[in-house]
Amino acid sequence: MDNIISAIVSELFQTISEQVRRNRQTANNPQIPIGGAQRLQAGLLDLLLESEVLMDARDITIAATNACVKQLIAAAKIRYNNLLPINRLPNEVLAMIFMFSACCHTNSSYPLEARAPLNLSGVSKAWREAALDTLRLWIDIDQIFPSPLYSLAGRGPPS
Amino acid sequence: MVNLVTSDNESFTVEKAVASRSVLIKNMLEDVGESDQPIPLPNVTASVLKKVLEYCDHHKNEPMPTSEDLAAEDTRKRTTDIGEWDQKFIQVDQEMLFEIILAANYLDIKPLLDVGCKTVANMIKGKTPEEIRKLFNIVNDFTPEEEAQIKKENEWAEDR
Repeated sequence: MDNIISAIVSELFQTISEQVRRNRQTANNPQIPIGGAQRLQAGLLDLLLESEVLMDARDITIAATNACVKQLIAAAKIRYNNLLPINRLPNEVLAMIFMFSACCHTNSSYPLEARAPLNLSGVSKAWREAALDTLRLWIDIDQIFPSPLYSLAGRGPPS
Repeated sequence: MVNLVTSDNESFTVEKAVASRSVLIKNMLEDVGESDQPIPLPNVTASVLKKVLEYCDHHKNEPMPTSEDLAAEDTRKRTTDIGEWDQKFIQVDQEMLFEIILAANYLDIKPLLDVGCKTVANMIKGKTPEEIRKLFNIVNDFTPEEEAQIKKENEWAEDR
């Protein structure tokens, strides 16, 4: 397994390094002919440029790999969630469950992050979409934020 | 009597009054008229239909919800109260609970669908997103940008 990964990464790195080298050469001025003493200096300069090319290629490879892995992980999480028993329920049924969970004045007695529909919309992408599509959830603002008058009277809104 | 055939090819012979708790089956029976033809239920397995029929049998003598009841539903405040027998009936594992809800939705048995939805609603009531995720094994699939957006919305709500 390690050998296979090493071969793939090496090939990818080689390709990216060549591309970085080509980009740098295009950007540089044409080479001027040089003689004896300057040749050693030019050789050192070439090595310096080569190490810069490799460092650039390394940064690009890491960034590209991270972005790719991030996308794959995100897609896998969505696929996993979609297969869960609760997410097999059609959206209209999920909406019914959401409406029941938001009912009654007890909803406004929970801490804000546990209060429907705010808690529902923070669970997952699919739940957020279903909660935002259920407009009735957001209409009855008294269930989310009780009027100060109810608090003063020591009870919730009439249910 | 009515003969129902599940997706896994099991036959159930039940009283018409029991089967007719399902609006889908009731309409089928009315369309077909008197017939011995079995009614196929391709979306319901035997283990789930057995549970659903247990519910229908227990409630067979109750009046069916009228269209007025259903229309009034949106205007009246809902409660999540569940009758004592229904509570015991719905004490099943999560997999079966969601299968019953799906079957009630497909078979159009509104009171059973309500019992299932209320049960799930009572499970998530007053829970934070993290607690809900844990309850149903849901993974957090938000991107960091979406997380930031949700945090911003919650901060706005806190300021109200």
